[in-house]
Amino acid sequence: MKYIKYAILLTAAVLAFSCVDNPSGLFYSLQYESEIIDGELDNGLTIGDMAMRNAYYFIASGAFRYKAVDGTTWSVSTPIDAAGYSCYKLINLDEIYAIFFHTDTLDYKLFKAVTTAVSTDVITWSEIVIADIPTDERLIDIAQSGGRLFLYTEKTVSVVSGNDKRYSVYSTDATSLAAGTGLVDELDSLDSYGELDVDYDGANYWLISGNKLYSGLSGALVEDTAAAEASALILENGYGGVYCHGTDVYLSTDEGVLLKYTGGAWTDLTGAASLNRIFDIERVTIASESIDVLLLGSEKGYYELDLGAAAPVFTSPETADTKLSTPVQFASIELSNDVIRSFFFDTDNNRIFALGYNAGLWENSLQANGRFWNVE
Amino acid sequence: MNRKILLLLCLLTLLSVNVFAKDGEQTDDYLGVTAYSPGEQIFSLNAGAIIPLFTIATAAPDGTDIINPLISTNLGIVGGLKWGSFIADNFYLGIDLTGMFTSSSTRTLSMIPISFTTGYYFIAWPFEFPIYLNTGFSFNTLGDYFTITPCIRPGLGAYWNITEEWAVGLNAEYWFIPEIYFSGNYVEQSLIANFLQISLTGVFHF
Repeated sequence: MKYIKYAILLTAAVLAFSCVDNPSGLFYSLQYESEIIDGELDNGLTIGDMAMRNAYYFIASGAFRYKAVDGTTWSVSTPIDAAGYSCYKLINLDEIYAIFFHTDTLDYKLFKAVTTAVSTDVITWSEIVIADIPTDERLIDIAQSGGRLFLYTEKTVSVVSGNDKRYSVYSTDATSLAAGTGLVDELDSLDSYGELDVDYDGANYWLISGNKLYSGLSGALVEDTAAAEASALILENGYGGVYCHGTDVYLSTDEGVLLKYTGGAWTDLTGAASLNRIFDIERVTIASESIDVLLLGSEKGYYELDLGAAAPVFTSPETADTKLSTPVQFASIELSNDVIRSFFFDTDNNRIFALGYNAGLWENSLQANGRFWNVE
Repeated sequence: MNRKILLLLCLLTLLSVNVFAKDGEQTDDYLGVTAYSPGEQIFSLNAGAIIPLFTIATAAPDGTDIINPLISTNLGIVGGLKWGSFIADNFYLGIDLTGMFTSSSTRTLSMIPISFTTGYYFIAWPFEFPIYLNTGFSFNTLGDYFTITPCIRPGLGAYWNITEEWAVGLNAEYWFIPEIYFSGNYVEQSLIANFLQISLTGVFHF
C-alpha cells in the first residue's frame, strides 16, 4: 500500500512537470512537420541586403551573389578591384550598387554592377568614386528610397575624451551617382551610430540614424522628436527601422516598440504586446486574399500584424497561426530562433524574403493554399 | 499494418495471461524448465534501431484521418539498460532506462523513458524467450519542444545463452507514447505515437 502511495505521488509530480508551454503538441508538431526546401545557399550566411533587377535576385552576403528569379543556383561575382573585400550592402537605383568592405584595412569601396547582361552571367563592374565626399570622411553605409541614394560617412575628430567619431549623411540621385558628383548634404556631424534606414512617403523622407529620427525634403531634413516624445520612448539602442506606406509612417525601436504616424500624431501600435528587439519593417500584400500584413524583423524570428483585423495585434507564428506560417511549421525551422534584421518583398512574383543574421535567406511564396518558409 | 499491430497486441495479452497464471507455480512451463529462482538478477544492455510507425489521433476533428503514418521521421537509434530481480520463478520486476534519438526533416527527436519493468522468461535451454512490459514516463524533446508523457512498451525477445551467465539475442519492443490533452487548445492535437524497436541485447545473469 505504501508503494502505491509513492507511485501515485511520483506520477502526480511527473505529470505536473510535464505541463510545458509548447506552441503545439509535440507529436502533433512532428506529425505535421513539412519538409522544407533547403537550397544550396549556406544557411549560416548573414544577408545584409537584397534587391531584384532584370529578373535576377541579388544579395549582399559577404560575397555578392545573384540568381535568376526562378533559378536555384546562386553565383558569385566580385569586382576585380574588390578582391579581399566583403559585400554587405547593395541597392537598386537604376542599376545595382554594392558597397564592399575590407575587414583588415576598414576600407570601403562602392561599385556599380551593370546587370543588363546578367542572363549570360556577365556583370560589368565599375567603381564609383564620389569626389564630393570630403577627403577626411570615408563611406561606410548606403540606403535607398524615393529614387535617392543615401550615403553614410564617418570621420575621426579630435576630442579631449569620449567619442571621436562623427557621421554625415549625403544623398544623390542615379544620374549624379553615376557621375560621382552632385552630393546633397543631408546631415552633418552626427555623433550616434546605429541603424541607417530611410523611406519616402511621397513628399518627405524619413531617416533614422542611431537614436535620432529625421524627416523632411531632401536637403532639408530636420530632427523629429515627436515620435519619442509621444510615447516617452527610452531609446537605449536607438531606432530599428522606418517604413512608409502611402502617407503612413511606421517606426520601430530596438526596445520592441512600433509607432505609426498618420499625419496627425504618433500612435503606439505595440499595445500590450511584449516584443523582442525589433528591426526592419515590411508591409506584405497577399494578393490572392487581399490581405495586408506588417512584418517586423526580430532578434527571434519575426512578428506579424494583420492590418485587416479589426483590432490588429502582434502575433508570432511561434504561438498562433499567422498569415505566413503556423506554429507547427515555425517550430520546426531554424527561422524561429534566428535574428531577422530585414525583409525583401518581391511584388512581381509575390514572394517575401527574410534576411537572416548568420541565418541564411528564408523565402515564403505566399501561396493561397498554405504559406510556408523555405530556405535558399 | 494496423491489423498486424492488433494481432501483436492480442498475442501479447494472451501471453501475459499465461505469465500471471504461472506465477507462483514451481513446475516446468510448457516451453522448458524453470531456470530463474527468486533472488536471482539480470542486467541487460540493448542497442538497436527504432522505426517510426504512425500516430493515432484520439480527438481528431471530423473528416480527418485518425491514423497517420509518421513519414516526417527517420529511422532512429535506441539504447538502454535494464535491471531486474526475480520475485518468482522466471518472473522478474525491475527498472529500465532507455534513450532513443531520431531526426525529422528539420529537428532531432529524443525520448528517454524511465520505466518499471516486469517480465517472464520462457526457457528452452540454451534458448530463452522473455516477454516483458515497461511502463513509465518518457522525457521527450523535439527541437525546442519538451514534454513528459506516459510510455508503455511491451516487448519480447529471443536469447541464446552462450554461458551460464551471459546470453545474447534480439528484442522487439513496441512503443506507445500517448500525448493526450484533456482540455485547452490542444485537445484535438492529442496523439498516441507508435514506434517499433528492434535491438540486439546482452544479458548478464547473477
